[in-house]
Amino acid sequence: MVEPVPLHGDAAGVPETTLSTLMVRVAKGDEPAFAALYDRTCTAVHGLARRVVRDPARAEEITQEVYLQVWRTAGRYDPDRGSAKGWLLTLTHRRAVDVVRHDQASTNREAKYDWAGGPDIDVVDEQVMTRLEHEQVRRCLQTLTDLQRESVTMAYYGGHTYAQVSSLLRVNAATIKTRMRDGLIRLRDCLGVTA
Amino acid sequence: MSAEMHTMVGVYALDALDHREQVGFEAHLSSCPSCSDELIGFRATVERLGGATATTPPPHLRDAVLQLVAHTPQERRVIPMHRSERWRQRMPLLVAAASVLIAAGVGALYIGELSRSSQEDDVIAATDASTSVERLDSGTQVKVIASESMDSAVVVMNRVPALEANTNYQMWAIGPEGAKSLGVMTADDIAEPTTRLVKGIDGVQSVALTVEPEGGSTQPTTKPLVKVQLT
Repeated sequence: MVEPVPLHGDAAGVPETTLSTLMVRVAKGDEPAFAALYDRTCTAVHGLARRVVRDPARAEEITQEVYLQVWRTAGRYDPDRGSAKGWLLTLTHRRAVDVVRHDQASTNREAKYDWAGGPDIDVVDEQVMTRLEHEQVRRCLQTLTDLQRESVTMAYYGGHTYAQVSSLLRVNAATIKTRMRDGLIRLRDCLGVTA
Repeated sequence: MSAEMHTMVGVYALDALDHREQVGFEAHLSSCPSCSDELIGFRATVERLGGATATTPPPHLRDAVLQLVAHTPQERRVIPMHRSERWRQRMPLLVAAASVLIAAGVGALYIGELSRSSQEDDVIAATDASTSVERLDSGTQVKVIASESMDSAVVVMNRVPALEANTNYQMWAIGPEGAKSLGVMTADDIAEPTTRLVKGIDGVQSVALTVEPEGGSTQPTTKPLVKVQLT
């Protein structure tokens, strides 16, 4: 019997205190601390960028821009408002979403993928903790209703607005908004998020 | 909170609002404690969705990022932080050194009250703060963030090489009247990250770091390892 692994904090197995400490040092202009922060978070940041924009070159641009933004604005990170990794992922997601929406606007691409499987994972690169995290997220996504799951994953992993999700699924916008919230509540409880 | 706004928290946490709606919701958020409470849990949930993906970026990206960062100035806004305990323990030595300098009539230049790191933050955050950096091929980097209005500077040292036995590092402020010691540092003192607050920078043209015999010298006796010219 394998001991259950606590999945809170940083998925790469780095205690959150360490990442926060690194952020404090980065805010002071400490370049070695920045390099350490990069090394400990880059697979998650790049993984999310890749998942949302799908194009490897675009994902690299996003990863680079996110770390530059982290360097420039590290002083804005407030540990009271969430984990350092959460902040990095928020910056990554917003940037990736901007790119996707800009591309959608310019090419009007058909954007219907099979979202139901949840997050992508690069099997070669995955770390043990990430795999466990992935498994738990995938399992919890399966506890959602189809519409909740599609609403959440099309928005988060697909970078779509609720209005786009509404039109892609042909479900009215108010319902999509409600399903997004209901889906997040169910996910939150399934994942045991205590924040 | 209205039912409409209730549903918006989830949409917002997923970044699924368009830009205009996002700005509108953020304005609402600041006056809606129950929205903020719910958002904390949703953010943590969404973070798990994000953290469940993993792809190692190509190695050249790391090099590119680190190189960019070395040439990119940071926003002048820092969060409060506390000096390491080790640094506090070293303080008596430096305070003593500073006292000697003052007693010897060297002038108003001295190492400040270092137990209050918020002073450092104030200097870094000062609107007139300017940064001067000197980098060596070895990776050693010394950065001086100086604020004229606060008459103070913060010296940040990275990757300072290890010392040979029976030597110390000594920091100097160099002005028209020569070099004034800013204090002696042992190998432990230079463990990263090392920052120093320097008060009284009027007339200082550069800050230098030399290797000196144990205990330090009254004037530099070796060629500076690094000399940072203040802008």
